[in-house]
Formats: sequence, structure tokens, C-alpha cells
Amino acid sequence: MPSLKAIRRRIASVKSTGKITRAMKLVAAAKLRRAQERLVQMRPYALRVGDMIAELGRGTESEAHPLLAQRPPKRTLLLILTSDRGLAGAFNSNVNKAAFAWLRDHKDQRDHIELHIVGKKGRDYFKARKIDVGHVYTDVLNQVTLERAGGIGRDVGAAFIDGHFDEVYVVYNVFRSAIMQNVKMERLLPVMASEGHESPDQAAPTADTLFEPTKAAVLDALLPMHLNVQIYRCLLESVASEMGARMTSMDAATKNAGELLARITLAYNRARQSIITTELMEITSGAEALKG
Amino acid sequence: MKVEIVTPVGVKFSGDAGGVMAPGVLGDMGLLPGHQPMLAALRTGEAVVSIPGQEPLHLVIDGGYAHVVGGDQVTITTELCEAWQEIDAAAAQALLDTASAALAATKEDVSTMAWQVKKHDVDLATTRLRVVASKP
Repeated sequence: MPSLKAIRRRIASVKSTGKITRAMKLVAAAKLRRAQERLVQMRPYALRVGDMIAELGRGTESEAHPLLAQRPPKRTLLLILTSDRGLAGAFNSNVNKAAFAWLRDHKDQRDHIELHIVGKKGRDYFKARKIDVGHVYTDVLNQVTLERAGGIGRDVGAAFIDGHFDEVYVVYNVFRSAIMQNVKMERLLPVMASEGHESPDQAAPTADTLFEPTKAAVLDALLPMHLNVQIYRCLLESVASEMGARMTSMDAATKNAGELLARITLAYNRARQSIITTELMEITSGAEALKG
Repeated sequence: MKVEIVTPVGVKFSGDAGGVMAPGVLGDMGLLPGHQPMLAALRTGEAVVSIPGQEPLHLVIDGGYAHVVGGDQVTITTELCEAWQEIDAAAAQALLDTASAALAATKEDVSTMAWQVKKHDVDLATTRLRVVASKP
């Protein structure tokens, strides 16, 4: 049986761990609320950009813009969205495992698959498996901005236009709720015009749509914007998922710490009680012996 | 007509309006009910939404697109949209001063990105001041 001092030390350590996990849970909950708000705020924007892409897509050939170019998929870029910090449940490992499985299954069908990774956790995962990693972007999820998404979008778009890749996929967590995040893999490039969301109230005939200044110029500006908006949306989904996963797992950790504390405290009291009983026995038996 | 102004940080305006003035790249354009379907690129400038029975709404628009669908719906998609309540006039004036000084001092060609960025700051600050001045 461990000494009283050892048990006391353990109680203190479990207590402070519980305090830390509780604080992390509260912080994650606050950040989750903010992330969710931003996600809801940006959805109409993504939807409208999709509407415009759909409008442009009508009757547009895939040669009209380099970002629409359909090529046989030989060289593939995977953009993997992970966080910089752990203690977020299965948030990072789900994405990493999905990307790893895809990589293993498609390695033979492609000439080359390159990984570009957002977040230290993804970088470390693939480094540990001796897989080469291209670009790594860190410190993204803690401060998601449209400019940051635009930076990634520019890199990816330029690599695609230069012919380094024939297709670009993004692997990320879709936020469903605080306790549910789904890993999703989506194609970013080439842009499929028909993929644009079209709201039913906008399905008016638009064969004679005017483009200002010209259709080509609008396409030129709108396609990169669409790419950036898609990446921005994926990043926001990831942030919300990360915070949701962290909140849930820290909540579980806090509960476990509480249960553990109750068990150790019981053990501590038992040990203390048995020492007192032993001492009492010694005193009484000593007194009895003196009487005799 | 139904007008919607959408930014990445939320829907800025959504409702019925008599018409919209939008800063197109080829010049300001007035969009009225019955307009032909159109997709137009916008520059940095002022948009004015006329609302029947109310003061017109003056807004700073920073690029983006105006999308006219079916003649009675206009959607303006832009990265930045500000009303006069959100603008700090002193900060806008300071931006205008530094940006116009930088633009005047620059040796870059008009076609370079660096020049365009400076011009953009001047346009943004000028528009902000104009929108603040339109305060009802």
C-alpha cells in the first residue's frame, strides 16, 4: 500500500489536472461559439459566390480559364487541414488517418501525390511515417482570416495553373455539432462550374446575361475568389470542429479526473483510518499490559 | 426590387429597395427594377441603396460583384462593406493623408501591383470620408 504522503501527492496532481482540463473546456466552449458565429456569417457569402460561378459556368468551356482545365489525374495535391495543438480528441488523427488511407489506396494510380499541410499536428504525423511533405502552413487555425485563406489559395492555384498538379483535394473536418465532426474530402480544383450551389429562387433564365467588363475578365477574377472562399470555409469548419472536439474531450477528461479523485480520496481515508486504528490498538494494549 | 449585400462576415443588407447605385469598374451604374440580368465587377467606391420612404443608405464597397437576377433581385458580393456608423473619420483622414503622400512619392508604374495597392488605399479612404459626410 502506498504511503500517505504518496497518496496526498497524487490527489494534488489529479486536482490540478482537473483544473487545467476544466479551464481548457471553458476556453474551447467560448472559442467554439465565436467560430460557429463566423461560420454562419460566411455561409451566405460562399453561397452567393457559388451562384455566380454557376451563372458563369453555363455554356463555358473548360478551356475558358486555366482553373477550369480538366486533365487526366496524374499528379495530385492533397491539402490537409489540422491544428497546431493537440488535446482535441480525435480531431487531428481522423483527418490524418483519412488522408493516409487515401494516399495508400491511390498511390499506384497516380504518378505523384504531394501533401500540403496546415497545422503542426499533420506535419508531425506524416513526418513520423517518413512521408514527404510539401508546404506546411502553421499558426493558421488560431487566426483564420480571408487573407490567410487567400495566401493558401494563391499558392495552390498557381501550382495548378503551372501544371504541377492535375487535381487538388482538401481533407478537413466538417462541423456538425460539438460532439460530431465528420472528415470530408472535397475537390478544390479544377473548379466544376456545375458544382456551384444554386438557390431555387435564382433559377431564372439567364441566357442573355450581361457581363461587365467582359465575361473573360469576370471569370478571371471570380474563379480565384471562389477558390479562396472555399478554402476559407474549410478553415472555418476546421476551427469550429477543433474547438468542438476539444470541448467534448476536455469535458470527458474533467469528469474522469473527478471520478479518479473520489477513488483516491477513498483510498487515502482508508489508509489513514487503518493507521489510527493500529495506533489505538497499540495504546490500549500497552495500557492493559501496565494494569496487569 | 430585392437587394442583398453579402460579405464574408455576414449579410450587410437585405430587403426591398427602389434602386441601387453601384460602383462598377467601368463607371457607376444605377440598377432599377427590370434591369437586364447582369454580372458586373465592382471597384472600391460608394454604393447607394434607395429605400422608399427612408433616407438612402450610403455604403463603402470594396470591390466584388453585382449580380442581377431576373430583373428584380440584386446581390452585391463584396469583401468589405461599411456604413457611416462603422467608420472612424479621423482614421480615414489619416489613411488618406499617408496613402496619397505615398502615391505622390511613388516611382512605380501605374500598372504595377504596388501602385494599385496605394491607389486602392486612397480610393478606400476617399470613399469612407464621402460616406461619413452623407450621414443623415
